[in-house]
Amino acid sequence: MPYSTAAGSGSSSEKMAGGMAAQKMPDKRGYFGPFGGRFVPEVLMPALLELEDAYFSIKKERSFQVELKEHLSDYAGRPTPLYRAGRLGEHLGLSRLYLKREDLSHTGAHKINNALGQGILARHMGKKRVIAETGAGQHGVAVATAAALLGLECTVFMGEEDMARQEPNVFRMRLLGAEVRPVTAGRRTLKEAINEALREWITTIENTHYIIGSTVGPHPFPVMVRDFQSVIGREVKRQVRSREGTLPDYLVACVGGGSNALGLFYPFVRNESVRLIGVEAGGKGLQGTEHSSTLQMGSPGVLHGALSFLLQDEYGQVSPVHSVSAGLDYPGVGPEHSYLKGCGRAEYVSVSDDEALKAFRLLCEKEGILPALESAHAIAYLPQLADRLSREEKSDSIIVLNLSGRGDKDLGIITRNM
Amino acid sequence: MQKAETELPKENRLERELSRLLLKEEKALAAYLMGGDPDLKASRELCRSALDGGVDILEIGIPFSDPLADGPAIQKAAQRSLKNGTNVYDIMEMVEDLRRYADVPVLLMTYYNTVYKMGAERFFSCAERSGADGVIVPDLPYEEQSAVKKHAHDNNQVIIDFLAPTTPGERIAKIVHGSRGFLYCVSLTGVTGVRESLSGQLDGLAVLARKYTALPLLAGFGISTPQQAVEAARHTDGVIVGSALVREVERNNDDSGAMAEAIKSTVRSFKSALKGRPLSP
Repeated sequence: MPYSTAAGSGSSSEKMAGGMAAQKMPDKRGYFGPFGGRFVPEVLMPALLELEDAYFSIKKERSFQVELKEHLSDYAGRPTPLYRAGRLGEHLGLSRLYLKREDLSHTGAHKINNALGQGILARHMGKKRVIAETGAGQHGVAVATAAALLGLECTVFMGEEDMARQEPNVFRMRLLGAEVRPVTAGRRTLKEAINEALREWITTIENTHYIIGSTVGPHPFPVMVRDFQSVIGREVKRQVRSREGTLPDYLVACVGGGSNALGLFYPFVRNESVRLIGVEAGGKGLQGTEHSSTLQMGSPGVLHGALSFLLQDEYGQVSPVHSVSAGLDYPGVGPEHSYLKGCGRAEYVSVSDDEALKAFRLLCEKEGILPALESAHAIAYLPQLADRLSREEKSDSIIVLNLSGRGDKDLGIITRNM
Repeated sequence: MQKAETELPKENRLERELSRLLLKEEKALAAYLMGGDPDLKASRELCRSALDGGVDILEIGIPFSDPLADGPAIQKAAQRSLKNGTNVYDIMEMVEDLRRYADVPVLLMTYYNTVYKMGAERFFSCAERSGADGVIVPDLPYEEQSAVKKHAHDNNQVIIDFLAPTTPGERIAKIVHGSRGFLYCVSLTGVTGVRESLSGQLDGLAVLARKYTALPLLAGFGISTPQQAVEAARHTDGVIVGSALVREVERNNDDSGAMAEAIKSTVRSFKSALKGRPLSP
């Protein structure tokens, strides 16, 4: 039996592994180095094993790939544009700044890539019903959309706090025929919504598939979501090559659970010249607990079925966290990000609520684009990135930022904060 | 199983007690209470009440912020306990205190992050020193136990494995191969909590499990009345009652005397029913 490294953290051999090894993760037990695994009640284990089998076999089937590709292009509007942000770039002194326009895909965020992939998979597995959790509501909307398209029943779990701050998305989900079930436990945000969705899955396992929305949860969810989101990075690779004839130098994306970031990063992990930067939510500052900067301030722990970095106290109780952005307001992070941090392949930084709100306005004013507050965190890091670069690098470096979603859902928060 | 026993010569209190009950053809009653609920002092008393009521195995919960396998009753109990600042060491101390009171097997029930954060080696050696006999960790399936099992066994602690109605035969065979103590048979596909009636999934599971193991089977999840306990014990060696007791704590929240009395009488009514001598209401 393979030795479990679950109890250890990043060893020196991990650090030397680099991009080539990273590309081959996870192993058969769902581990990315020491992170990942399957820490769930026994009721779910047979379903996870079945899902793993179904996913890895269907993935190889041409008919599945064709069906998914058609849905992604004809329905979701892929490929999304790679837009050269000239005025923002000029403002920041970055000459070759590109935005990957996931905000322009159907339903307004990258979440649709995964919702369609898992939705089609669920139908192939004979499941009649899908459930999902949602924070900002973008994943919930995407799943409700996929369910309507594929003729599946749909229930979405959402914290009451998030229902209030992302109200337009609640309305959208209901219009799409989904049941939105309010979650009232704890801080009534994303973590609690995942708890409830997992409990519901435990209860309805026979006919229901759980479409988890990020690269989190027990194996095979982190690898499956990453694979479905990798279409982002594959397109970027092609688009940058045809525009610039080379690879990008920097990839920047926000990280909550981490699906838009991994979707962008993963096709580049073996290209070691490409620097990967994940931007976490710094909330009201990294002192204290009013932030969601899991990779910078957390420590290894187990939440929602996986071993990964976690914001927790000395006894392993999960900490209450905060971000102005509902999609980043989460104390955990996908195990693959923990691995990429541990082996040094990716770097993680954070920006505060205020910086993200300013960046939201900046993108509106300079480019006429309203970003989701989540994506605004990535924009907010650009001035710091510019400060790191020499004059020459500023004009030469190709920077691609994943504009993971559109900001219409955040107008209420923006109005209140201005 | 033979092999496991020769590797582990030291007899565990839980295993000894279960053998004793099996010999007497008596069904086992395990009671679950959340440690530190509603507070540590009252919780200590409630454990004693459960023992006085005639419980055979005591399970004490170490509260965790995100209990995935638990329904509302135990979630709320964990929140009450955490609100008072209860931590893992407090619960171990409570076990130590109970050990001076009775020789009944005590199992700690918690989620894996509690063990992981403390470190498995430290966790299990503290558990042994406190007088506990093992752990129940609902989010630690057998595939993930390799990192901790050695530390548990080095400290003479058993890790209780779960079987669910969704667990197929060939998987049962793999799980029971390394199991000790008893097998926790989940009576339904769901989380813990009081139910109106049993699901009907339990009998099939118990019959299937018997094909693969001689270990005692204890049924848990949703067993809320003595009548349901008798039903659940028909094909098993005993039952685990949790939410029905935790609910009594919530119900009598202002009155610790009433709470203790309620726990004692509830436990007693389950035990009598299992012995075939139901108490008149």
